[in-house]
Amino acid sequence: MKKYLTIAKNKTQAEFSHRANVFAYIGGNMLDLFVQVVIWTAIFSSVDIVGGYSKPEMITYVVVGWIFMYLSTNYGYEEYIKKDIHEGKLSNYLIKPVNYLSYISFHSIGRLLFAFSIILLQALFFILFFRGTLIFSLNPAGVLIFILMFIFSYAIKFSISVIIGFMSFWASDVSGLYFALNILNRFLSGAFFPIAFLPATVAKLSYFFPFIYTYFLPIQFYLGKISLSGGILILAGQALWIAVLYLVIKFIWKRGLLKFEGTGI
Amino acid sequence: MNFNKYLAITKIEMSRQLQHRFQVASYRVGNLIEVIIPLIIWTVAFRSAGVIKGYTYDEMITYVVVGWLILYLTASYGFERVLALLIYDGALSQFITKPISFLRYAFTLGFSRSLLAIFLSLIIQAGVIFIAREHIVFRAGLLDGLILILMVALAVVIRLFYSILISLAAFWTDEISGVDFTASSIIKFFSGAFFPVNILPAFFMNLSLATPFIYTYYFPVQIVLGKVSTVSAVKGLAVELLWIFIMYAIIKIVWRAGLRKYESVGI
Repeated sequence: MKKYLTIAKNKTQAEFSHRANVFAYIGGNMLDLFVQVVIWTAIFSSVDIVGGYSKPEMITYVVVGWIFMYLSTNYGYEEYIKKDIHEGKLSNYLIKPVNYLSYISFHSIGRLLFAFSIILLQALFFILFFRGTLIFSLNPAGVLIFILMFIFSYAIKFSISVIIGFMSFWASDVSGLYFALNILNRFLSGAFFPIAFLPATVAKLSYFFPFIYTYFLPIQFYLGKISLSGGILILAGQALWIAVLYLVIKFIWKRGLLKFEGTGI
Repeated sequence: MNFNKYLAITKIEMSRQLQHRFQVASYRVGNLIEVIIPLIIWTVAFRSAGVIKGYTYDEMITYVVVGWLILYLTASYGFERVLALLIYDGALSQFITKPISFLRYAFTLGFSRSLLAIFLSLIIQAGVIFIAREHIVFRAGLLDGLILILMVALAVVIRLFYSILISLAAFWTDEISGVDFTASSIIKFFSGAFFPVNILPAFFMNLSLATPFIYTYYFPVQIVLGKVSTVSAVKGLAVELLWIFIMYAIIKIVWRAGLRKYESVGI
C-alpha cells in the first residue's frame, strides 16, 4: 500500500511543474459554465418553467453539476494508458513487483489533486456568486449519500477511461474515437441538459448506461427530486456498475496482454 | 509563384487524410452530437415561449443548423496542433532550406487538410438540414446571398490565419494544450457558436463585433435570417477584410521574431 501512496505523492509533485498549463485550462472550463448560465438565463427571461425545472432549479442543476463533474473528472487519463501501451512503457510495470491497475489508480489520483484544489477554489467562487439562486435542501444523511455518490462517480468515470485506454492494445490512433465517446458520454450523463428533456424512449435508454449515474441522477438527488431511499438505490446502481466495469477491465486487460508484444523484455 | 508545387501539397495531403478516414469520421459523429444538443435545448424551451430574446423557434433552429454548416465550412480542424508539431519536431528546417515559403505551405496544407473533413461534415449536415427543413428560414436576397458567400470564403482565411498564429506560439512555449483549449473556447464563444451573441448584454455583443471570429458564425447567419441590412452586410465584409490584413501582418511579424528564436540544430 505504501508504495502506491508514494506514486500518488510523486505524481502530485510532478503536476506542480505543469502549473501554468493547468491554470491555462481555467478560462475554458469557466466559460463552459458561463455559456450554460447565459443560455438558461435568456430562456427563463421568457418562460417560468422549462421541462419541469424552475430557474433556481436549472441554475443549481448547471452550477452544482459543473462542480460535481469537474471534481470527479480524471482529465483524459486514457491518454496516459495509451502512451504506456504504445510507447512500450507498460513493460516497465510488468517486470516490476507492482500491479499496473493499482499503479494507474493511484497515479491518476496524484495527477488530479492539484487540478482538484483549483476546481475547489473555482467552486467556492461560483457558490458565492450564485448564492442568491442556488438551492440547498439536503439533510445530513443526504449530504453523506451525495458525497458517496461523488466518490462512486469518480470510480465509474475512471473505469470507463481505463477501458477506453485499453483499446490502444488493438488500435493505433483513436483520438477521434475518444472525442466522439467523450461527447456521447457527457450527452448521456445529462451534462448538457437534464435527461428528462430527451424523448421518452431515448431517456429510458440512457438508464441502461453507466453515464447517467455520474451526473443526472446525483444532481436530481441534490435538487431533492429523488428521495433518500431513491438515493440509496442510486448508490446501489453505481456500485453495481463499478463491479461490472471492473470485471470488464480485468477481462480486457488479460486479452490485451496477450496482444502486447513488449519487445525487449 | 509556382502553382504546381502547391497543388502537389493538396494532392498529397488529401490522400493522407483518406488514410485516416475512420479517425476523421469519428470526429464528425462527435460534432453531430454537438449540433443536436442546442437543438434539444431550444426545442424544449420554445414549447412554452413563442419568442426568446427576439428569436422565433424557426429562427433559432436556423441559427443552429445553418450556423454549424458555416462553422464546418470555415473550421481549420485543429490545424494549430499540426503546425506546432512541425516546429517542435524541427521539421520546419526543411522549409528554410527549400525554395518554398513556409507560410504559403502552411496555408495550402491547412486548406487541403480540411477538405475530407468538410466533405463528411457537409453530408452529415445536409441530413440535419433535411430533417429540419420545415423550420429553416432563408431570407437573404440575391445581393445578400453574394455577400454571404464572400463572407464565408473570407472566414476560411480568418480561421486558417488564426491557427497559424496560435501554432507560432510553439516557438516560445513547449506546451500549448492549455492555452489552445481556453483560446478555442473563447473564439467559439465570440463567434456565436454557443448561442446568438445578441442575447448577451450589449457590452459583450460589441466586444464580439470587434473580433474577427464573428464572421465565422454569427454574422453570416444574421444575413441568412435577414436580420441585417445590405449596407451593414457590406460594412461587415469590409471589416472582415481589414481583419485579414491585420492578421496577415501579425503573422509576418511573429514569424520573423520566431525564426530568430528557432535553433534548427543540424542545418
